[in-house]
Amino acid sequence: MSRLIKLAYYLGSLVFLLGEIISSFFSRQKKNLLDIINQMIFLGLDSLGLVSVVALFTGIIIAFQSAYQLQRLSSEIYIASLVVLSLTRELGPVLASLIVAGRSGAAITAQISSMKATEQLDALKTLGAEPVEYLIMPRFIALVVTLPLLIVYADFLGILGGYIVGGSKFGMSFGLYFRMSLEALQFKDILAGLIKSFVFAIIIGLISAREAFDASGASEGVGIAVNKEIVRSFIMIIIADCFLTTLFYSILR
Amino acid sequence: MIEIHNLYKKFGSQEVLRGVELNIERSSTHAIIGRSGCGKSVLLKHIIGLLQPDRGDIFIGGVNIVGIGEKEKKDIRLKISMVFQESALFDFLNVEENVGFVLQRYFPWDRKEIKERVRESLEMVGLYHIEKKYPKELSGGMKKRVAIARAIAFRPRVILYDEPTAGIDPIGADVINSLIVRLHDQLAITSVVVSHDLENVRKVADTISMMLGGRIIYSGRKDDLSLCHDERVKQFVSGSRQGPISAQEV
Ligand SMILES: Nc1ncnc2c1ncn2[C@@H]1O[C@H](COP(=O)(O)OP(=O)(O)OP(=O)(O)O)[C@@H](O)[C@H]1O
Ligand SMILES: [Mg+2]
Repeated sequence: MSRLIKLAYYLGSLVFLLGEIISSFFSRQKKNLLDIINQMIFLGLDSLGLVSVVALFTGIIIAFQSAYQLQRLSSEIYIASLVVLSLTRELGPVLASLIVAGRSGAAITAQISSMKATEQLDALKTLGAEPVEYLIMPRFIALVVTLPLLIVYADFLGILGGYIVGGSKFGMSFGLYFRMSLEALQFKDILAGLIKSFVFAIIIGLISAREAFDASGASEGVGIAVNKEIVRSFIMIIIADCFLTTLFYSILR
Repeated sequence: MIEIHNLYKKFGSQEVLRGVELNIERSSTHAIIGRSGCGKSVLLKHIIGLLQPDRGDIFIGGVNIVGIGEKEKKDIRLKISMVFQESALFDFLNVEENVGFVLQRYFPWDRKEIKERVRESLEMVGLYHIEKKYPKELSGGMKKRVAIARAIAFRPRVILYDEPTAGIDPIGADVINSLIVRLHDQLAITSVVVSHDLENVRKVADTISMMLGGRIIYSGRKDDLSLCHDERVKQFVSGSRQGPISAQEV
């Protein structure tokens, strides 16, 4: 029971933080657009390499796995549709978000919790700057913009990975493979993928900030906070994915 | 300038402040001494509004800052500034951006005016041509001086120094001491210096208070400290492990 209360308290504090971030976005002192752009570049690049590798190989793996099944039905031609659907609906958003939570989100938590440990957060407040407005808001906006872009990029790389298999194993031309992919794709799949990526970005942004603020304030608190950020983001992303998939493909059919 | 009445603060079950009474006069340099962990930093954080007390009042220039709104708090904060124990320079900003932080955010000044004030503030702490350096490129003593420059850049009325000479070699410590004295004389600032280092405190303070067990147990002019008959104060002044303050107690 007390665990349930703790969970409710935690979720409540995330909602509260979201409110603070949104209100600080509208009441910000100076246009810190430059700061937001810097964060987008920093956080995006931080995860780009890993996202590329994982997306490409995931595409290859799904293609191989589905090829194995489809061959038995002599319908290898549908390999493209299977790859593109699993990627845009599920694997692209989930894998890219997990990577971003593990790299960019962890980077945010590490930086801000170590600022807490060295009294920099206190110093910010005494100099008239609120940490949420000055530090969190630009990172949050950057995540919400960057993650969907990363996911679209991951989807494309995954499709490319699928083509490597489709092309080399079944001799499909790139034109055919690409057309088959587009044909399978519905607008709804793209929309669902994008909505998921927004929700996941919000989850990562909130949890990475929350864990940094809740860090012990000692230097060993940094590692603990990063660890919690990763575990909690992973759990929340997977649970949210389950809800959203149910919503899009079962309830709102 | 600063009056503290009956201040209480608990962290969990640990009572750190237990009825602090303290009066800091305008334009004085007031030192608060006490053992490590007795709650000196916690007291300073209450004065600058970073922590909220459980009970008690803090008057700054006649205004009670306990329980006031964020807006008023900001106005008060720009009258007070704090030099943190570990300097707390922003590691992603260079020296110039650190020192000019408040000016850039709150002063309707152009870049040139800000640059000029930053240079002037750095000069006051004896630093030249380091505007473009980052905190990680500076020594501990230089960081401390940059932190002091940042604290005086917007000309506050009160400066709180948390252990200004801790972890700095004796010569560097003396540089900081003379700096505190000089800033006080030049800018007529009210200074509060928190430290467990009596020797350094004696060089800068005109008034000394001693903190023990979450209370202020002694407050008086610097020269009267050695005349005090309280055994606990005597023990701290002589730096002995034997006496009414047990070696473990904080
Ligand atoms: N935010 C906090 N949460 C919980 N406990 C705290 C917090 N801040 C301080 N304390 C506790 O309050 C006590 C006093 O801490 P404080 O930092 O004020 O000591 P200090 O007198 O400044 O010591 P030092 O000379 O070593 O700096 C310590 O036992 C510390 O553990
Ligand atoms: Mg301290």
